[in-house]
Amino acid sequence: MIIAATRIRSSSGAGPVLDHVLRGDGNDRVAIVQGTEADVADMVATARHAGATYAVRHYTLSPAKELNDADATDILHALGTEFGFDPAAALLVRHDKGRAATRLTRRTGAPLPPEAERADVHWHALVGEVDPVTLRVLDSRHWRARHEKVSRTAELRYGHPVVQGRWNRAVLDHLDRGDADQRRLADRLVAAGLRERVRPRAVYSSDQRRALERGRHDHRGSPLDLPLLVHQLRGAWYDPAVRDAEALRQRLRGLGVRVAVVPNGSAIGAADNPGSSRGRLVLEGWDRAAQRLYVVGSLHRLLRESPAKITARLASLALVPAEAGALPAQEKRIAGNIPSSRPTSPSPARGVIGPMGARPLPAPPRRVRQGVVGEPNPRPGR
Amino acid sequence: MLRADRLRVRVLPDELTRWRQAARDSGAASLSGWLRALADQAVTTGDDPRAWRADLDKLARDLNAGVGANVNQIAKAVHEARRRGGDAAQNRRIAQAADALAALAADLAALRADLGAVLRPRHGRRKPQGGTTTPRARTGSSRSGAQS
Repeated sequence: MIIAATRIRSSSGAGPVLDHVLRGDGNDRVAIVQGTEADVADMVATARHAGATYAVRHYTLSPAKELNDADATDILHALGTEFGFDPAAALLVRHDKGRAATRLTRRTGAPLPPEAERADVHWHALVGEVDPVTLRVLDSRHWRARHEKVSRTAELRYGHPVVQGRWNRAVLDHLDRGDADQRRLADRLVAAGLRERVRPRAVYSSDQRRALERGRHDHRGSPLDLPLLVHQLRGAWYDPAVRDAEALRQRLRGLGVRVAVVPNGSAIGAADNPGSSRGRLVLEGWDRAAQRLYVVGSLHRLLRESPAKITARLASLALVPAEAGALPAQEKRIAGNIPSSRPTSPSPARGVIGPMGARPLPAPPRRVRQGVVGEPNPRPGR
Repeated sequence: MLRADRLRVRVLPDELTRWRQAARDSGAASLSGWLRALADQAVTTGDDPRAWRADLDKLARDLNAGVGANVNQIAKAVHEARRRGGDAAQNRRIAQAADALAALAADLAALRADLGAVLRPRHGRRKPQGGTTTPRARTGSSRSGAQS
C-alpha cells in the first residue's frame, strides 16, 4: 500500500481539491464513504481563522490488492492515531479507477498481465490541517517515514505484498522500540526482506505528473495519460521480441515517443542527471494537439533502471548514444509520426533516434536590486 | 494573603478588548479577578474550557452530514418530480415543497454561519494569504513508497 500526502494551502481554498476528489476525470466511479464538502469548507475557514499556511491534508491510500471501505476507514484511523487528528471529521472518498495495466487492457483488449497486482481502487482522505478545538496545526514531523510505518503495518494486517519504501530502517527501528506487537511486526518485515532492499525512487512525483499532464495530449490527440505511457514504454523496452534498433524504433513510434540525448547541465533538473559525461538519455513525446515535442522525463528514471544498463541495452540493439553525432544518417531521422521539421519544446538536443540540436544552457540570472534590472544600485547615503 | 507570583499570558489585541468588555459586563472588579474566577471555576467543576468548542464543532459536522445530506436528498427528489411534471395539483404541491425546501436551506445556511461566527470570530488573527510579501513555502508532499 502506498500512502501519499500533500497539503493544500489556505489561500487555495477548498474548491480545487474538492473538484479533483469529487469531480475529477478518469474515474469509473466516485463514492463518498464519510463526510461532506461542507466539512472541507469548514477546514479551510478554520485554517484561515488561525492564520495557518495550510488548510487541508490530502491523503491518498493506494492498496496493492482489493480493500473495502471499512478497511480504508481503519487505515484512516491509524493515520489519525499517528498524527493526532479525529478521523471522524475527515472526508473519505473512494475512487474506482483502472490502473495503467487495466486501462491498457480495456483500450487494446490485450490480456491483463499476471504481475498487475495493484487494485483498481484507491481512496482520498481530506483532513483539517488545523484542529478546530485547539487551533493547533496538525503534526507533520517525519511524516514520510510515519506514512510508511502505517503502510507497512496495514500491508501485514491485510496480507498485501510488502512495498519497498524509502524509510525502511526508520520504520524498523521505530517498531523495534515499540511494544511486543510492534516488535513482532518488525520481525515480519525483516523476514520480508525490508532491511536489505534498495531504496526506491518514484518515477515521477505527483506534482511532476500533474505539471506534465496539464493541457498535454499524446500523439493521438487524447489527453496524456502518463502512467499508461510509462507502462507501455516498459512493455516495449523489456519485450524480448525487440532484438534490434528497428524493432525498438517501431515500438516507440507506436507510442509517439523517441529517445534523445541532452547535454549535461541543461535545464531538465540536476537530480535527473545520471552522471554520464556525454549527457543523459531522455524520452520525448509528440503532442499532436499542440504540434510540438515535450520532454517526458529521464529514461533511466522512467524505466527504473541504471543509466549504464540502459546504455548497454541500446548498445545491444546497435543504438549507441555515446556518439550521437556519429550515428548513421538514417538513425538521425525522427522515428515514426514525429515530424522532424516541427518546433520542439524545450529546445532540441542531440539525438539517439531522432536529430537533435544542442540544448542551450540557461542564461545566468540578471542582477536585480530595488527594482532596477541590470543596473548597479546607487547606495543610499553615499 | 499576598499574591506574589505573576502570570503573563499573551493575547491578541482583539481578545483583550473582548475579555475586558466581558469582565466589565459581568461586574467583576478587574480583568485579573474575572480571569481568576474563571480559572477557579474550571478547576473546581473539572470543566474543560475547550469542551464547548468540541461540541460546537461536532454540531457543525452533524449539520453538514446529517441535516445537510437529508436536505440534498429532498432537493434531488423535488427536482426530479419537477422534471417529471404532473397535473396542476401535483405541480402546486411540488412548488410548495420547493419553497419550503428553499426556506429550510436558508435556515440551515444561517445556522452554519452562526456556528462559524462563534467558532471562528473575526478578530484579525488571519495573516495575509499569498501576495508578494509572503515567501512561498515549500509544498509538502509525501509518498510512502515508490509508485510506478
